[in-house]
Amino acid sequence: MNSPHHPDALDLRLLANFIHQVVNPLNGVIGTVDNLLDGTVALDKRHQRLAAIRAQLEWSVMLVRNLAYFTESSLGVESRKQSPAAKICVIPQLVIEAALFFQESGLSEGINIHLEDRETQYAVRGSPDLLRQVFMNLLDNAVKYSDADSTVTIRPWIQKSTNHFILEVRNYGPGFRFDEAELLFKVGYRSEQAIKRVASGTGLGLFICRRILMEIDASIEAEYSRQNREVIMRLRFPNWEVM
Amino acid sequence: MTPIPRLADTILLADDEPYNLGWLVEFIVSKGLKVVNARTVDEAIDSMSKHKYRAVVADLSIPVHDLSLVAPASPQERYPGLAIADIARTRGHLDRQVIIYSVHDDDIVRAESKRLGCTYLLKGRPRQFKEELVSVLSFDPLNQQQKQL
Repeated sequence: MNSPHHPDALDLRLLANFIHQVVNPLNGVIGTVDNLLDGTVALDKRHQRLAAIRAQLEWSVMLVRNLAYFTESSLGVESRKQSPAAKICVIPQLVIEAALFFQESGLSEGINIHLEDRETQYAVRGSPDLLRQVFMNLLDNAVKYSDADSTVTIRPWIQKSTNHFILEVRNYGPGFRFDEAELLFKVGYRSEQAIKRVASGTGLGLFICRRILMEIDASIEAEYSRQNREVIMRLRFPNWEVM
Repeated sequence: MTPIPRLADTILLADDEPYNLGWLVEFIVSKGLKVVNARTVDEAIDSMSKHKYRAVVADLSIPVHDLSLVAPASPQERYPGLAIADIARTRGHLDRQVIIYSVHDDDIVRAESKRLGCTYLLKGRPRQFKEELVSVLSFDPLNQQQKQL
């Protein structure tokens, strides 16, 4: 990675994309606040609008956290690296927290988020904040690039042959080309189909997911079935337990 | 040639991230108007081939599927929303009826919006956006033409 004193074209393009991404929800916040102040919003809709403001601010923070994590890892800062003594991360709890965040924006497009097996308390050791960031990035993509009126399914299961804990995030949408499956995890890369759907994006989300998972010896891979338009993001945790 | 039907009560909003524009839709609806959303340059141009709108509001960073819709070697390649403004103007929308907006303040866009004769606004300033819309909506070109007749 380049020195911060010599930013290259990639750094600057990332920064420009990041600015675009973070200004959009903040613009929404300012606009909604202005509507609240000038009486555009009816009294009975104020609570709903405040909830929308909160969601847009949380989304902005998520983007800033992505940039912060990217910057720290680029500079080799290991202050947040997950040690063996890291906390227990209860996966269903973190998934539900992330899913709640995207529920409203998903429903506006008829997209449901469904977690299979909420009962089994699969857990891994690491940083709950960083793992939540992984699930938020994955669900952000899944909701943003899903077909309208479809379901995003999160499926936890144990692979018998390896005894690995697998967590799949599945959605239906335009997906990506076969040769893009690995490129998706490179800094700044966005699939052709993603660019056709939404012009701007940071291309940081999946890169960060992989980096965070690597720190706890977990991994992530992408798969797309053109036949049934199904995107699968598969997380693999060799070390896991049930609470 | 059949004239394009005019939707005097509808604004075409071309933006690929409409979930960030709930505030704008709410404001427009509060003024008694409707909003039609287009998520790509292609959709916006298709909509304008079927109807003429009270106003056309376009984000400059919007996907384009059919690359022949943007003028080659022009600012439209970087800012496809300019192609929407261009078509809107050539299909009879008056200058003040066409608004383009972007996160970035770019002299190239400023020059292009001047050439097209449309309004260029920056994101992050919703009050200015609303004032501009109120100004646009205060003027109905069809009614003005009828008065002159």
